[in-house]
Amino acid sequence: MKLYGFVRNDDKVGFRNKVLLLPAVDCVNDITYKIAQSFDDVSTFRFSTGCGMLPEDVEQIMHTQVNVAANPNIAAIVIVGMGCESIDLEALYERIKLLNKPCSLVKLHSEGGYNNFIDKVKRLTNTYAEDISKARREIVPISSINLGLECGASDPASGISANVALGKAVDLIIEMGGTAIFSETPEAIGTEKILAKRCSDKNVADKIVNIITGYERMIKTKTGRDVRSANPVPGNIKAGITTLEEKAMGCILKGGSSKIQEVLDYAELPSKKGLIFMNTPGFDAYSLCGLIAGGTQIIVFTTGKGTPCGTPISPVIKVISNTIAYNQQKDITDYNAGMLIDGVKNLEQITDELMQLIIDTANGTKTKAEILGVNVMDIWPLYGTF
Amino acid sequence: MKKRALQISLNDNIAVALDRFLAGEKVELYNIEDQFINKLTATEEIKYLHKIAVRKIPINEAIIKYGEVVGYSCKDIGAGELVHTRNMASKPQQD
Repeated sequence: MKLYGFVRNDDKVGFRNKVLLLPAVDCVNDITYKIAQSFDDVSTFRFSTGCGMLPEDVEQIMHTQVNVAANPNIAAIVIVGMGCESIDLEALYERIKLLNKPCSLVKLHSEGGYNNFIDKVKRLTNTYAEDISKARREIVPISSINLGLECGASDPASGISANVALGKAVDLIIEMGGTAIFSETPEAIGTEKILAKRCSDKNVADKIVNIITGYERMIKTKTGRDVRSANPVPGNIKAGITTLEEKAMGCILKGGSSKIQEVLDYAELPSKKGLIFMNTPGFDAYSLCGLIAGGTQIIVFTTGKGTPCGTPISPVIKVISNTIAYNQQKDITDYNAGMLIDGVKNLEQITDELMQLIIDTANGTKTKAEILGVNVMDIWPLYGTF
Repeated sequence: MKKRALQISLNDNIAVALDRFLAGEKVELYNIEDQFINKLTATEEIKYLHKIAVRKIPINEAIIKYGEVVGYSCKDIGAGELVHTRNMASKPQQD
């Protein structure tokens, strides 16, 4: 299992090699999309806010944008803004320059009209795309993998096939010195005591309990509702899930059995290797963006019913939990872990095949979502726009 | 073909049905490594992916799945019975 990646100036390893058109506000999103689509290996993402925001959100957006730009799959960055958005574009530019990657800032209000602005973004993109294509892959260790773990459209089979197999693969990657980040705080409500027992020390354990209970309180404050009364949903109960704890356990299995080394706030960079938890919402666009800001170069997404989700920066490998759904959703699904339930393959075979798929994807094999060009990613605002 | 149920962790007191079982049908228990553990009889209908008690579970005992407590019995449950909302809840019963 040889692994080949792009070694960056900071020694981090990318498994894709892309120019990022970084939108500073939603008003420029249309143009970043159109330009990204007209080039090879140029990425952008839907940033649906960016104006009329409180200071807490300005900081949340800034650090998320900086860390997304820092993702090792990104080789060069064009920051695309208006000049009047909530964040300070010059400050963002200064912080991104520190990443030591080719980087430019283009502001609509400084370019004398929309067409001049578009031309400048295009010319810079073109130059960067030519420059970064000179990069070559080299052999890198498995320990350079930072794997993002995500789930959505789950079913009771997720907890006995896809998430079990992914947990085993994560254990292997971590044994070899790699990193994996799991997230989606609301999905972990009910497992805080179990997760606390699995933390490397008391500080980490306290932080994970505080984040999960804080999230539950936040929902209560915002809505007046007890999240536990809403979960498991009637569809879960009909399918055989009885309690919130049972549902949440099925979900956290995908992190495997390693100790949790660090607990991160949204879109923070890990300072440790091994298994990491990040505070994110369950909403996939926000959660995937947080994982990418956390430096994950590959994401494995387990699902019960199937989902088209992909990101423009890190490939998303979709693993489905059952053969019935796989047969219906083959064009968006990369692997069928339902073979475990069917008794067609055992856990060892499934884990080996999933590991091979992660390595192949890292080495350049495209995921179904990459082939289809599916782009689901947005920055999580704490309060939103006013 | 053998009809199987999956006991995920060694100390789990429930297994997940990998088939639909009718009352009186034999259930072959397997672990996650696909090794045969034991046989039992379903005492009522157990639907696909629903939970079956692999031994007697007295009232207010922890229900263990994935080797962790995922709820408590709110009735005495016999081996081979369905474990679901009727006889299981998040918290133990208060006297």
